[in-house]
Amino acid sequence: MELRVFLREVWRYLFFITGAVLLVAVLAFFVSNATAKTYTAESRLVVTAGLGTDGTGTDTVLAAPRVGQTYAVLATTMPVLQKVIDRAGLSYDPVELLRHLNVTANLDTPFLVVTMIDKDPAVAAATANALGDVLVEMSTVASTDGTAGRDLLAVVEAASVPTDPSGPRVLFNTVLAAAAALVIALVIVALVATLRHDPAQPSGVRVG
Amino acid sequence: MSLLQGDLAEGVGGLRLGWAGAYRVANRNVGTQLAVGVVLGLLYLAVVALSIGQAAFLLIAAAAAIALVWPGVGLATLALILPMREPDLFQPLYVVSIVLGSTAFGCLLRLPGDPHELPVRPAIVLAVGYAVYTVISVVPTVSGYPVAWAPTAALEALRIVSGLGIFLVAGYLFRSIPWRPVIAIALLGASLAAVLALLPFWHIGPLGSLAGLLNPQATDRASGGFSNANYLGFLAAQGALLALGCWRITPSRYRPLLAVALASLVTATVVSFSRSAYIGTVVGVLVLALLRSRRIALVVAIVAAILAVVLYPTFLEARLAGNEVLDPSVIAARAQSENWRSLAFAAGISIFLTEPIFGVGYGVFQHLSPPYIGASPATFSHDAYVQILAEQGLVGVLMVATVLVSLAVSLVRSSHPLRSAGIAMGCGYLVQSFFINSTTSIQISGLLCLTLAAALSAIPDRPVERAEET
Repeated sequence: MELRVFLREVWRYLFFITGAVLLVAVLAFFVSNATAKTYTAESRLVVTAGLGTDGTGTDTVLAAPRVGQTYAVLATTMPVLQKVIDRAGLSYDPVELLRHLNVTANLDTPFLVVTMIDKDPAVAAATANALGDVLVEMSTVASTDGTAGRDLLAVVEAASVPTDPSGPRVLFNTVLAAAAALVIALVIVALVATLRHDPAQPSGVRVG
Repeated sequence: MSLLQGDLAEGVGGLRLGWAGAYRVANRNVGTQLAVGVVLGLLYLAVVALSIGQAAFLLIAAAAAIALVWPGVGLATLALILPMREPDLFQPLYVVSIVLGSTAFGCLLRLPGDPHELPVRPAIVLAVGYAVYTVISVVPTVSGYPVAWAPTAALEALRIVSGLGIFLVAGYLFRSIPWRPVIAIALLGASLAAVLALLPFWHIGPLGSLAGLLNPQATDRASGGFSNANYLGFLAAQGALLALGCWRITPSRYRPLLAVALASLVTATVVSFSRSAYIGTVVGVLVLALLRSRRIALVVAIVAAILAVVLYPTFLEARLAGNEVLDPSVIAARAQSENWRSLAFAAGISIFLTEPIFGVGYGVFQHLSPPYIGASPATFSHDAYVQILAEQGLVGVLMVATVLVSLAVSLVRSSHPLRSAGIAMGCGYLVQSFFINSTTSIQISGLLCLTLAAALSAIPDRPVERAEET
């Protein structure tokens, strides 16, 4: 099929193409809007100076990210998750909670980021904070001289209750659905035009 | 040069001559166009090697400007420089996209005066639609991601568009430009890239004067101008399959040259120590053999299996650069590397499950994967299929799969002499893509795009169209 023929066919089916794109876009918009919204709350913890003697030594700087990683793994263990559930009063079981919760730490910084996604913004924030508190409590190192113990972790930024939902992405879904509908409609027009104008040539085979 | 001057003058005067004049100029002196393209490409590589930025800029500007009048120049330059390392000078754009853009514009200028039909197939409509769909999804307003993520996503989208662009532009030009010299130039480019990897690996020659074309972060394994040895292996395997596929259709007087190219590409594949490149090569060779006869394919399969069993320990020793295979630290490092790959794969599936329909958005995998991969530094998926699944969801997978199936069907039905090479390269590419994000690298994908364009669009062995003197 020749380019001019294709463009003529697109013009001919313009109503169908526009209608399909609009219909799909409207559908995607309403479905996305109707889908339960999710909220993301984030709290940040830091590996504190408690590691070294004065907290500024090279050992502390080098060890902190690794300690952070250890706690990131510890945070996903069942006993810790159960503590979080009890403290935040959640209805999840630990395995279920793990699907909503992420704890990230990398080798470059001493920070841990706790991320909780939930349909209830208050629950998301409360859970992220509860996990932070549990980790801080577990990081307490007993002192040998009878003074108060030191915490290896400290909360630097508690999670606040999110006001805007993080999902579903209504605009993203609507625009991509419309774009996909446009592509599919144009392919259908191209197929129909190919069958009409080059009936002997199966699609995809060079003509001429 | 007077030819070019005359055509440039006529091209500039195209406003007077009209579209038919522009088409006529673009179709003239095809051999000269290709020669000019190769010379410009070689000069560009020389000045990039010597890190003379301004000269490289001028040469690319010249190639881009000439390609507007003579698109064949742009095609030849592209064919030569596709597998080469891009200098930082041109970022955020890339040399390939600059030359390709101007060649495409040159084609568009000649389009209204083109007396031949321009075929449009549903698969092409879908491929172009997929590229547009991909570009739309990286716009920060649409994706909702931080603007800081947009540049890397846009660059990855640019590479997808460039790959498709090479296929379409070359496909259009192959209707009037003979495909054999262009594929020969592409093989020359791939062979040069292979030799550039072999020289530093064997410490041969004044390597300092090639610095601009080599990856500054050299490793124990040969990598040349590629970001790592696996990418070199990918390109070298693709080049070797192209050379093998072209063997039977190459006149005997050119076969010594083809043998040299094949030897350099096979050697580069071997010293890349890339398992994915080995698997891709074996699959490609097997397909080539199968296209000739089942018996030969069976023999190739048995030989490959025996070689794999016998040579694997030697391969491991060589890959580990003299370290003991059974050294616990070496075993641990290997296990860690494989664990990182598994983590990246699992991360891809987890990310896909968060947004299965449209995916999380193109070019953001590396930003979203850290929560799923623990301490692993491998934030990319290292698997083109998982990457598409996670970033573009089921809709993206469906589009890509449909384009691939259409391409495969067209290739199988094609009667073009490059059919076998195209099928073998395609199979090798598909297999290797399980281990590398192949679609986001023009360095390794460009050769296949060019070969497929020739195999699907070029008129087989049509005599060179002479200037249409009127």
